[in-house]
Amino acid sequence: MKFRIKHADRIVGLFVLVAVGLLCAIVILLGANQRWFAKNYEFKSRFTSGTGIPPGTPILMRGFQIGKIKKITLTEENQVDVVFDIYDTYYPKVRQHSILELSVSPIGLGSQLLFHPGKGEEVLAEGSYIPAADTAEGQAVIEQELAEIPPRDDTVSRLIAGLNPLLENASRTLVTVNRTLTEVNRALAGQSTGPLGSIVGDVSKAASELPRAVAGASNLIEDVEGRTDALLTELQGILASVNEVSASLAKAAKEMEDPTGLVPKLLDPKGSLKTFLDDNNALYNKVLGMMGDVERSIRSLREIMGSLSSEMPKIASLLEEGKTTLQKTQDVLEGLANNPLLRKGIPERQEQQSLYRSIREGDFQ
Amino acid sequence: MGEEAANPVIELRSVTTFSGGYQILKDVSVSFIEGATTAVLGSAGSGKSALLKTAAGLVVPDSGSVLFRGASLASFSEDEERYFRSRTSFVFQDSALWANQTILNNIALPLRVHRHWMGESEIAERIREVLARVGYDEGLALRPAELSAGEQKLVSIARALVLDPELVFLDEPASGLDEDAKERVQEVLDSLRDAGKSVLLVTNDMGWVHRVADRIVIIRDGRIAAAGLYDEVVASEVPETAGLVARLRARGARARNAPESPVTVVRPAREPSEGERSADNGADEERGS
Amino acid sequence: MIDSIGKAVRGKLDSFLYGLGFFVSVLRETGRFFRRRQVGYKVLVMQILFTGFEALRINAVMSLGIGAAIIVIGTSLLPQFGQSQLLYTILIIVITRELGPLLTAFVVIARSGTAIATELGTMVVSHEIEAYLSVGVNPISYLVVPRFLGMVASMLILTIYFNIFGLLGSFLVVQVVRPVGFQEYFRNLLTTLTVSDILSGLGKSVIFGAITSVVATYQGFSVTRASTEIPVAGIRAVGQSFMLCILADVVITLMQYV
Repeated sequence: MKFRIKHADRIVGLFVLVAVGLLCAIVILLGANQRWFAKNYEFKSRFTSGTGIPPGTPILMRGFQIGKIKKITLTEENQVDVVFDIYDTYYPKVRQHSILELSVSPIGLGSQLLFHPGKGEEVLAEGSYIPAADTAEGQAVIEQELAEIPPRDDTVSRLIAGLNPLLENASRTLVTVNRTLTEVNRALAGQSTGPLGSIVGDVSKAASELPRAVAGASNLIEDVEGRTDALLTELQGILASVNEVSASLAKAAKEMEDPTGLVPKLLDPKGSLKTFLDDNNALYNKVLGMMGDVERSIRSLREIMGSLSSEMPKIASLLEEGKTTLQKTQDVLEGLANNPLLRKGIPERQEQQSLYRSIREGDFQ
Repeated sequence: MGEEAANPVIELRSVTTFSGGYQILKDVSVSFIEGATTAVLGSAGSGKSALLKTAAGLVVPDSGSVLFRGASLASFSEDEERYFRSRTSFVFQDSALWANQTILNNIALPLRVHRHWMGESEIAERIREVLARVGYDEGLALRPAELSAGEQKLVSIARALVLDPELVFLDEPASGLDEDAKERVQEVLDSLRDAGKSVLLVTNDMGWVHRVADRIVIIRDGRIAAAGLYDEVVASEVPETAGLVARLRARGARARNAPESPVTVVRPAREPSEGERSADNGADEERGS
Repeated sequence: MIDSIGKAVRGKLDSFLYGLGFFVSVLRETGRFFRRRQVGYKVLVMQILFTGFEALRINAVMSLGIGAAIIVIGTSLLPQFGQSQLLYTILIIVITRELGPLLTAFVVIARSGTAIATELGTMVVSHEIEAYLSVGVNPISYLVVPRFLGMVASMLILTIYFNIFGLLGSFLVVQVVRPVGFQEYFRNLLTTLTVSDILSGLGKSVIFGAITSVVATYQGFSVTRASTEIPVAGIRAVGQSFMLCILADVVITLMQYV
């Protein structure tokens, strides 16, 4: 105690100095780490919207932050002028034909502002204009392959790339199925005169493509991120088709339930239905096989979606809806197969586990 | 009302103070004459310490004003206040030395505040001088707690003298002193009077009053009962002061002559109200000095 | 009933205004303290010694403990949610922004708040304050200002040490139990830490120091004459300082996040 009081000045001086010294050291380290003192090179760009690029947005190049947005302003022409900084260490990357690209995360995880360096020799001067990818200049650069745009190796892009053909196939198959059903309906109504064989040919062609797509899709299941918007658009298309299918089915089912109209038609030996029914269930088997393919593809989708987690109940419900319709289709077709006089009737279907609910429940595992 | 003296060093005008809800001083008006040694007498709890502290500006009156050479203490600017403090000093009844400071620092502080041009050696020299004057001969590096009550008192008197003030307030300076020390303090008081300093002295020691007081103020229940020259107060016949006066009379006549001034007996301007009466009783219990 | 409420409210208001006046005069005298070379300098040094230096040990132990606990819990729990990066945010929020200044304030209040209140209370009872007045020393500039400055400075410096021990020292403690990569830890820490975090913590510590010192000196001076009032003043100083510091913390935090 005596010692402390005797040397109070010295102890207190040291106590304060060490603290201040350490604080300064931390602040300097912070500054060095957060690049307060490094020189930045300023460039300009122009976007159609300021969404996703507020000041401070990092500019990434192959996963590295090479700069950030400094200022955005709305111009007279309703364009967004962007001023951004590129850190000095990355300045040599800013070559002729460089472009900026705003890549929006498909599942609402924000966006990334990507920088694609140009293939030109010349390093651009500070203050130069660097076009955005969605402008005419940017598109020109991309088309002429003047910028180094890395292949989209991210899981999201791969998933999307794989999903698209699958969905397209599913959609095409459904359209064909719908056409077939329309024909069937017309046949049931006694209006059909055209050859059913050609329709069946179409259907089988479309259906043959589906299994390949399904096989491709299963590879994607492990990649668990998707582009919600794109998928939704795609799925909405499918749903529209599915809805058409279901409308036709409803019609067919109604026709079949009405024996008064149906029986005379069925008995009419010249009716096209005879042909339809006399082909030893060939058409029916084709359609049924196709439906099986569609269902498999939908199942693949479901697996993909299952791993896409709960963020997408919307997709899940769409798929669920589509699947239910397909099941109805199958039921009706089976009912048709058991015709002409509804031999076995339309079977009671065992209720399957709801896709939507199972995804939800998966959250808590 | 009060006596109109030629040159009061301190003047109280209608001063009222409260402490802890009790009225201690009740409409007190009194003057202390420049260059005189005035003894403030009164029984325990009569308010004499409060009177002294109010006169010294340590207690701010709840109403009324205190004047130093005609200027109100309340209106002092900071410089005037500093000047007032450098020309006056106060000896507390319980010494009131700063416990966490050495004896040296206790006495040196007034010098460091008011004579900041003085070097440490000069300060030490001055301190040795005043300590010798009061007869303190213990170490300077000691802390107050290491001294006896009497030694503490001597140090506190030395602290009061170190600036060579013109006006000294002493609250019971004789308490806790042995005969030797008392004698030396009396000598100090004599020398102050001889040097023409003003002294305000609160004491119960009638021997001191008899020896050093030029003037007497008698306070009773927070009011001035009598104030004036020693001989005149002693000669007066006022019932409120009879006991004290009788004790002074018993000491006989004094050798030295008193300065000129008529006797003034201050009576209450009006009868005390009921509330004040009850406050009086409380004040009696409350005040220890 | 109504009268007594009115009286109580008026009393509270009066004491609040008096306290505010006290605070203002402390600030005014603080301004002067730097202009004139005062005898209070020594008091300031001693105050920093007692309030700051001597509280360093307990402060260090506390921050090391808390920091180490956060790192250990964080490194075992957060990766389960895929949120390992949150460790640094939590560390900085707890050590730098929130708990650091508040816990330092609690230590300082418990140690020095009571000490100041009882010391000044004792000085009032033994008439030492009047003795200062009698020699022309303003008790606020001589007694309160050095304590005020000493406490603010001590709080500020203790908070810096709390950060250093809590962020860096705790790292070393954790190495014994559960090694964490040095490079990784410090790079992440420095990336997450911002100047506003540091300023927020230090700003709080300054405010807490000011609150504690003003409350403690105010309570010390509130003693009138009996020595039995001294411990009461000490208790009130601690209680009020705690309350006001927590309130100030809430207000500052709300101002930053709302």
